[in-house]
Amino acid sequence: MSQAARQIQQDANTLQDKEGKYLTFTLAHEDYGLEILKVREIIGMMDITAVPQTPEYVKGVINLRGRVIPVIDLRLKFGLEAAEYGERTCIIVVEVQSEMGSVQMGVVVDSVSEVLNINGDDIEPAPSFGTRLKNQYILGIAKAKGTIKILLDIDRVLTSEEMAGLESLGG
Amino acid sequence: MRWQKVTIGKKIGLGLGLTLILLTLLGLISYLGVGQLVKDADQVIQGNRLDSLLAQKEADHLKWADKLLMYAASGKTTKFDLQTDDHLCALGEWYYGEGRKAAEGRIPALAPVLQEMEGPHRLLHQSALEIKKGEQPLSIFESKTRPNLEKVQALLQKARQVAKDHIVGEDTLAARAIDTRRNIMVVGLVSLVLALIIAFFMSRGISKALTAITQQLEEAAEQVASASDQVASSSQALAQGASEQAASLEETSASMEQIAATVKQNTLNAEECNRLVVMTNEKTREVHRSIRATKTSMETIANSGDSIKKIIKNIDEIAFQTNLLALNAAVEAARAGQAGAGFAVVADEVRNLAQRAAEAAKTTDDLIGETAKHIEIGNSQIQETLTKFYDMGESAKKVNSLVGEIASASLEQAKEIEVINRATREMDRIVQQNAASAEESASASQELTAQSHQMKGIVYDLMAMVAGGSNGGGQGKSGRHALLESLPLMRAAAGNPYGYGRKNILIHDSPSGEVQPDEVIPLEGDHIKKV
Repeated sequence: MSQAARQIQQDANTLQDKEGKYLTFTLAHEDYGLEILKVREIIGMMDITAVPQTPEYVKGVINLRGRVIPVIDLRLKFGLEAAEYGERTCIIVVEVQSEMGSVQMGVVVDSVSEVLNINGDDIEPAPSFGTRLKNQYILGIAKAKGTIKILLDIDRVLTSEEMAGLESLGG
Repeated sequence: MRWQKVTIGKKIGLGLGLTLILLTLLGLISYLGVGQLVKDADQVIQGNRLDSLLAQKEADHLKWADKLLMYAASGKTTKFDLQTDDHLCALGEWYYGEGRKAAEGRIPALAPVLQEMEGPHRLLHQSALEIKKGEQPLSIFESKTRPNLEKVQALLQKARQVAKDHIVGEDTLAARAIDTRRNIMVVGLVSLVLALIIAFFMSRGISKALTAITQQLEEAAEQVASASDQVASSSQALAQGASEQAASLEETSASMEQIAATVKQNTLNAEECNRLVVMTNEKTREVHRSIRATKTSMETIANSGDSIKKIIKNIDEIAFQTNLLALNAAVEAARAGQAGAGFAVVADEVRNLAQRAAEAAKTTDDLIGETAKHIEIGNSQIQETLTKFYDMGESAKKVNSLVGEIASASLEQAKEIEVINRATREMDRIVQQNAASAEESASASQELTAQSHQMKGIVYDLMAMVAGGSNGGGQGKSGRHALLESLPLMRAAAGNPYGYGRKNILIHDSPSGEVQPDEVIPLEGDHIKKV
């Protein structure tokens, strides 16, 4: 077995680890996936209390059963065009692992689709170009039901320096 | 003025006048001659009477002288009864009376002779007184009586000679009578010759003029004959034309009747059309009402659709919430790991149901939206239909009025056709009149032809009269035959069933039946009546 083949095998193994259930959602007509274990809850759109002195993609905070949770707009975070919130707009409450421990945050998406069980065979590594996102956010590209779903590493998405201040909001 | 242009009356008058003048001249000459003769005869008679008177007086004085001589010779024994007054003797009575003056008036040359006689006559009678008183009567007688007696006697002789010289004698009378007879004869002969010449010229002039006139008359008669022929053929053509007109009028009349029937049908149709249009209008209004009702119903449906849409939205909302719940359940199940596997399946099923509900709701919503869209389309279509119905109503109104106009126009047409019918009847009447007139004209022209023939006959007679003899008559006869040849109508008229001018036509040898009467007068009586 050559070195290259071994490398591919290793990569495949890595991808095999990512097999599991994903919550899929749409954002600007593209399908994305989230590891289901990262998801705490899915809620419909609700009033967001804006917080001053925050980046543009930080929409504010919500009161979810007594807990204050910061909410960010993923469109704005990804540098996409802002969109009006509609009936299908949802907030996915995720649990993000940061240096300060586990933090719950709300992510505004266009709509929530379903919970998909994705085989490791169907997952491919993220390409080095051709996408607007930084490669670091992407776990892989999943092929399911004839479409492409971008599997996001939500920990990396929401643990940039900018998030540091927000974590205090969610306190 | 030329002789040819002088009228016949003037010619006759001139000729007769000249003849009369000649006759008068002759008569005058005769009268004058005879008058002279009578006068001469009277003078002869007077002269003879005077001569015998003077002779008587001479004889008386001779007898008186004889008696005186006897008295003287007897010595105055015998009774003296002799006239001694020279005024009272026979000669003296004549001499101093009217007798002498008359004689002197007739013969003036007698006066000096008689004047010379007065003295000797007185002396003669005085001698008788001297003898009676004297002593020597015989010597007195011889010296005084005798010379005076001779003187008186000579003077009486002389007077008688003078009278004879101055008064026409019997020989002269005879010579004059002979002269007169000769004169009369000469004048009469000259007059006769002149009269003959005048008569010759007169008759020649008159006959020339008459000949010219008769020739002109003949030509005129021929022209009249040919003209009447033309008139006859023209009136035939006219009659034919009238009959054709009558036939055309009949056709026209029939056509007009057909047109009238058509117009009547048109009127009926227009009325029917009007009725149908009114009915259509009514139906249109009903349809209009139905469409309005439909519109209302569709609006109701649209409203219901809105309500349904709300409900659907609710359902969709519920489905969404259910979906979220199912997803949350799936998340929880995932968290639970192996224990939550069954729950995950349920959650998935629930999510599926929610999705189906959402899909159903969406489909329903789409359907409702489509329905709403269709209703909207239907509404606009209905609106359009209503507009079209309105237009249709307007058109129907227009059709109504047009049909009304057609109906009234048809009525008007019917009236006009009645007028045309009247005009046609009038025309028919006139055509019949024309036909009758043409017939009359034909008969009149035949009459005219006959008259022209008669005229020709008269002209031939006149020509015979003027030209004399059988020459003119013969010409006339041949002329008549020539005219007959040139007048076929006259032959045809001989077969004329109407008998127009039959008795006047001077043709006896026209072959009847050669021409049918219909060809001459093409009008059939019943045909005319029928039209």
